[in-house]
Amino acid sequence: MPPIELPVANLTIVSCVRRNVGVACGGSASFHETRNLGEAGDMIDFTLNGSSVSLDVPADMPLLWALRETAGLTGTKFGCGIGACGACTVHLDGAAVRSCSTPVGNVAGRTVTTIEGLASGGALHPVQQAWIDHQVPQCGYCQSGMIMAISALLERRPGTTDDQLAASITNICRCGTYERIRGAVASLTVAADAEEETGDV
Amino acid sequence: MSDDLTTPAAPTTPPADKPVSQPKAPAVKRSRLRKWTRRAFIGAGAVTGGGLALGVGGIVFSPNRLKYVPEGTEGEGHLTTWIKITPDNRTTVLIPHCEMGQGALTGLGMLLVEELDADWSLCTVEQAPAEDIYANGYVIHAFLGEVGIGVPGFMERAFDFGSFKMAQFAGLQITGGSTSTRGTGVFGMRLAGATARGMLLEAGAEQLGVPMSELTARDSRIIHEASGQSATYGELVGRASALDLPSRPRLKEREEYRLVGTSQDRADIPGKVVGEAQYGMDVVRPDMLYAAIVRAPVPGGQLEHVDPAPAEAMAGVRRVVQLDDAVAVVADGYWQAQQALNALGPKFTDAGLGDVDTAGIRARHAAALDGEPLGEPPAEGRAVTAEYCVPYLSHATMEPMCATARLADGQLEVWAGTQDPLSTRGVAAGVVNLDKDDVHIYNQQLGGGFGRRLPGTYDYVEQAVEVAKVTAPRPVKLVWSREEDMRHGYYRPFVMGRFQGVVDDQGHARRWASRFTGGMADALEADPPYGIEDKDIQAVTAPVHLRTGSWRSVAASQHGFFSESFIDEMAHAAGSDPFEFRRGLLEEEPRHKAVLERAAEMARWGTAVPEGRARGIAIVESFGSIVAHVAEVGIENGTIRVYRVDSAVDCGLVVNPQQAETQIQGGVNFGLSAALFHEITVRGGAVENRNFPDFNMVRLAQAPRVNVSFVDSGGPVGGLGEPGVPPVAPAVANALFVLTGQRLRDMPLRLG
Ligand code: FES
Ligand code: FES
Repeated sequence: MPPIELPVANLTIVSCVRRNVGVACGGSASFHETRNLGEAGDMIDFTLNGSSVSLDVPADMPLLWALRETAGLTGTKFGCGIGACGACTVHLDGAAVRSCSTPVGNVAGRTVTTIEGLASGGALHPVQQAWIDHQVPQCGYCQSGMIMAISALLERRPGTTDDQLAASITNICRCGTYERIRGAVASLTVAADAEEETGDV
Repeated sequence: MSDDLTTPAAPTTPPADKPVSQPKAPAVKRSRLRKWTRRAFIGAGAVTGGGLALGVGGIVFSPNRLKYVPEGTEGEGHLTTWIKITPDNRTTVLIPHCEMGQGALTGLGMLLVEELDADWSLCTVEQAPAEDIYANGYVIHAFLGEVGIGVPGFMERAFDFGSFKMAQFAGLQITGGSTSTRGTGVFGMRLAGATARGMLLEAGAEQLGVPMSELTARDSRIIHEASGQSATYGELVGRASALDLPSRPRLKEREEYRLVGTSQDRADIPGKVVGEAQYGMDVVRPDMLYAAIVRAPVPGGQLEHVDPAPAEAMAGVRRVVQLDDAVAVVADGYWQAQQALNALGPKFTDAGLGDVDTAGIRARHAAALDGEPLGEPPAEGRAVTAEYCVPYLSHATMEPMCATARLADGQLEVWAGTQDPLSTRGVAAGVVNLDKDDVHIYNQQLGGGFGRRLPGTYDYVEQAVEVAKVTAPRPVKLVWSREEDMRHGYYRPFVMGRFQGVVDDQGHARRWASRFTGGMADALEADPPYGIEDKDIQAVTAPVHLRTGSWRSVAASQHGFFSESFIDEMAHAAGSDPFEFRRGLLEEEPRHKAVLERAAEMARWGTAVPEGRARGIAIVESFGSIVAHVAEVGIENGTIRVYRVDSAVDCGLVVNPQQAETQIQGGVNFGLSAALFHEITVRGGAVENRNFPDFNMVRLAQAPRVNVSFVDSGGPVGGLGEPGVPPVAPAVANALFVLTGQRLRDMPLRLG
């Protein structure tokens, strides 16, 4: 797929999210409209939710705003802008990073996954499914970041214990959904343990 | 400096004597309201495709109803209606309340569907369009008059200003307990469901040719047991829609409930795990610009001077907008706007309040209390006295304030998350001097509210509209930085209280006296449920420096801390166990007593705790619910650590147990953040706090295990979103006293 040029000022660009809940967008974002309005500056090229993108944005712009306003992916949230709350967490080469504190120039040539790209092959990511099964979100505003942070952690450490979870995840949930988060994560680590035991991993 | 610290911008409280029919309503609707008949507020009729629409609302079927129907749905007739049943046997319920994550939509839908006896899996619950909320307060009023239900005390004030209180309660509370459930649900949704069921039963009797008394309704079917015949609601809606409304539909007794009381998933959750839910922050309009803003840091301050040049020279910047008390930068993106704003050095006046600081505020509250002394305690018995204090607190919703506005062709459109679109419309209209009919509010999901997005607190909407005047006809999205959000809240008030208690030689409480800064409106929350004969409770007016508003659980949050800490002091003075001491004073309050006992039992009160830990107990009634927490607390590396909270709750009726549980758990964490961390401080007249590091939050590492148990008292329906908050701080403080001997009387709790 050729790189897609996305303008700074124009906003109706990306439609990745599908209306049908349960089938979140898969690996490839569908960019249904592109227009390049501005002067061509330095383009930042990277892989976003499985697709190559080329964004015309200043290299020091935080990835958060490039995602939300240029790429049109508003699932990644702004909470504090200083790396203190985790609402803006995305995966950079598979690791959780706070996109408000990551200059978009730093992701050139790398792979970024947002909440919109976490599900794959038409199936929710296990963390997303567990979030539904355990009815975790309240207002939900922190949950994109929470899910991204925890999915990266579980990828790295499938048997994460309660204490490890508490030590690793510093995202804020103002609604206070922590008890449900613990329960949902426990259900996933139990599932992971069971798989390990049966050699099913 | 000025002696009067009161800021003019505090949220207004409408006068209590204001009539229900507000003059603000457009004339045509007012005349409808005056001529209300039952038919006018419960209406039913056929919809396109042969279904049944049953509406409950002041403007149902009014001549201009179509005006309120969303584009493209005119023929469906579902705008002000709450139930729509179509021939495919599917039911759609429209709820005129905002969803903030408390599950109000699901809870209200369940109450209606329970009475309708529909199959929940065939039902869809949707939020009514913003205009619909318009009718809310009137609807409730009508129901009460119509079905002869008395007005519960907590709702009386709701009538004064339409949907204000409704939205407030809906916002702050939850499924099963909020006023959304207590008001709309109990008095509205249930009646609507029962009315539709009555009509379907009658239609079933006609169609099956049997007496109605032999029919039952169940799972979206009308069933004639004797003959084995049945018909689905979908098959009956055509006939039902032609019927007259039943004059007095029968509401179910609680024992008959099948759906209410079972845990149901919330409809809004799937969208929230895939990044699809759209919040105010996520609004995108064609041609939209972005704005960042900074307001005078001192309340009442004005913009004196700003040199726009540094911002205007930056890439992507369109305009520097000067408002009376703020500067905004409009740019092609929010980040560019904020960067450019940061490059400016605006000068603001300090409204003569530049030497106000936290210590000064505290001194003023103390001085106010000095003017109302507690008086001499009686000679007999043991007197205990203490002074308590709580700071200003920010709501700090996860989503900072944000609104998008577009002014074009004499019409104003606003996209924002608010707890009451009705009053938002009035506020927005006022800024541009337009008729409310020319103002359109598109309410978005709220990234938390907790009272920050209530009427009287729509400064972010006003600002967005001000900026939209400049960008017109292009829409503009105004985004507050977290720093701006932290500095310009409607804070939980600063409150100080002085207490005097007396216990006699037998260890009985004889007197309870208090003076607190605030208003007598808080007296209810300031009066503990304990049976103490000699009570003397008085509010004392004290200066307000910052803007204040309703903060999750409102006055109960500070008074719960005061009362439940002080009764603990009295218990220790009496040499009694704090649980037994409270229980002894609750003989006249069986609901409280049962809740207290349940919490103690859950926590195994009186049994040994792990080394280095202690338990504390507290019980607070707020918003019609009674909650007792037992906190198990320790100290790790000099830091307070809460390991678990056992929580017993009597909220009358539990509509959706899984949601009820999570609201209490959330309330515990909300209350714990305040107990451990929160303090808005003032210096140079301005709020000092900037961002989460200096207004810290409980995170997973501090979040206790929370076990919740519901006590079924059969009492009236109470709230759930707020009542979990107030008992947290005192339960923790009481445990810390046992652990350390230190009585912590200021929040946040800090070990000496
Ligand atoms: S917005 Fe990035 S950490 Fe808060
Ligand atoms: S669900 Fe509201 S902030 Fe986490």
